[in-house]
Amino acid sequence: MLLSVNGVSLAYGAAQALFDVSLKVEEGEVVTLLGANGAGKSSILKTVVGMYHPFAGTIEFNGQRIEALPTDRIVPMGLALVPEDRGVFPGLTVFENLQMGTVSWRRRGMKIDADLDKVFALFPRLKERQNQLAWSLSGGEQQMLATARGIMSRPKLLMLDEPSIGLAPLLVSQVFKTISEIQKTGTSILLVEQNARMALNVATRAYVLETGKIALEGSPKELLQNEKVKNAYLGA
Amino acid sequence: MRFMRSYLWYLIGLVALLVLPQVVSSPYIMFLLNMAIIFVILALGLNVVFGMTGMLNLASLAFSGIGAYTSGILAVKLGLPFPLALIGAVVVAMLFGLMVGLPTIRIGGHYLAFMTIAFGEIMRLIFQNWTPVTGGALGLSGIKYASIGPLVLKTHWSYYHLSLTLLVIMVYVANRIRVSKLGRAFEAVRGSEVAARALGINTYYHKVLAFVLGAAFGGVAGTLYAFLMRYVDPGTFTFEESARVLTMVMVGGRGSIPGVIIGAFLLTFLPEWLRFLKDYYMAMYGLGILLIVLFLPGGVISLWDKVRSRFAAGRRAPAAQTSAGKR
Repeated sequence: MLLSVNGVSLAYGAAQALFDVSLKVEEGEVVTLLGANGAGKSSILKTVVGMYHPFAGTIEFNGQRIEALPTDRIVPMGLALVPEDRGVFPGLTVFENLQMGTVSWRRRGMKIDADLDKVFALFPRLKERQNQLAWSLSGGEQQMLATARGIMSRPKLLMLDEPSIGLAPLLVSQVFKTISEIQKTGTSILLVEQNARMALNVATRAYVLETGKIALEGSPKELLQNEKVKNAYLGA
Repeated sequence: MRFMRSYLWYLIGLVALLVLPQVVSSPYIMFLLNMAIIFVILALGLNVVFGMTGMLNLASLAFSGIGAYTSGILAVKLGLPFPLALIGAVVVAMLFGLMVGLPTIRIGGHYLAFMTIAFGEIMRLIFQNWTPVTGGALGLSGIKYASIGPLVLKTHWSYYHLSLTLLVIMVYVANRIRVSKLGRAFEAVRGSEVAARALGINTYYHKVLAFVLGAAFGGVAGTLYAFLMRYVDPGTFTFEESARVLTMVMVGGRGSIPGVIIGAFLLTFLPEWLRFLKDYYMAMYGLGILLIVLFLPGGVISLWDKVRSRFAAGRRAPAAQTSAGKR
């Protein structure tokens, strides 16, 4: 078991955002988390990576309890979050952005060439633009950069928060193709998406979140046939 | 290549600043040049805090005040020479930076800006009222001429070489910060705090560190000021002057070290150049700044980027806007 979230409840002040949420990610899986705006999808990712701390429940990563640890202790264990707004660093070049991905493990004198080759193989575009400042990239390229930067941190589990948001349809399918390719390199993925159909196509397992609670769980096949999912998320 | 080019520009600037005192005959202009350098150092400090890391510090002058009083007191009461007073001032300014930074930065955002205003006012009142230590409203007097070994710097001309030396050091330090791992982390925190945290960067630590480093620049600037005036007046370290330092950073080009240097020089001398306007000069000064901020949001330095990209576009295909050049 790579990640297991057990009965996690989270509150922002007086407002409770997550109710007794349990989910797990096995090694090699692509797990997708579906749900409407405000259902608590991003909250789960941010709680897992230690930006928020639950008031109840436990989170285990690779056999270690992490729910009380700060983010800068969790990330070096092999967890990476690519946040919702991509959060590229506009004042740094593409290359420098990628360098920032390595701060969790890189010590003085360590080479990053192999890591760079890996992300440039996934995203050849970034190689061309490596000396360009990140603000000058297009939305699709910024998503590539944010994902690549996450991979640079050598994660065992890569968490992607709505990677397809705001992208043109052609780029969206590109994003999901990349997700499958990342999975092939041995990195597990926890994917939060609004684009349910695409997400279910690449996922090995899926959860549906409704107002802070896990409402459904199953294989993509099951969920694609589920009437409720069809009506609410697939627009059929 | 990129660094060679930027160092070339710094070298040209340095040569110009070295030649300048040979042609200046007015002690007042020499005094202003010294003041301009002090403001450049202050603005470089604010650039680390605000330009790179994105925290609005409106108490630049409070830190230079701490530097000025510390070095002044060390010189007057303990008889320490300039270099030791400078070190003492930098250390004390950094300690204050840490003391203010630790609790306020956790709050963050606009609150931080308000907290720094409050801190600035508190420091001003302390300077003004802690008479046994600071000399109170009368100020701290009796600072001897700065001396480096046997060299006593009595004129604004000789003092200028000390200012310039410290300027070169501080520009170098600012550049080192910018291109180091630390500077990238600062820039990352400014760009997206969530993303920086998600990569395992301790953003709180980096913000406090940026604040403390910024305070160190204030300590250097304050010491230069105390020994230039040989008198420290509590009325100097006001919010208005802190706002002026912020304007220097904005007008020059937030985040750009050459830009900030240009901004500080420009805003030190602009009021002098506008003096012929008599009563209207402050209005013109304000209007000028307004126009720059409106039409050049990237500061005066962005003008250079525009010219260069147009020039490049004319020669080659209007390809990618590579601001960084080839590695």
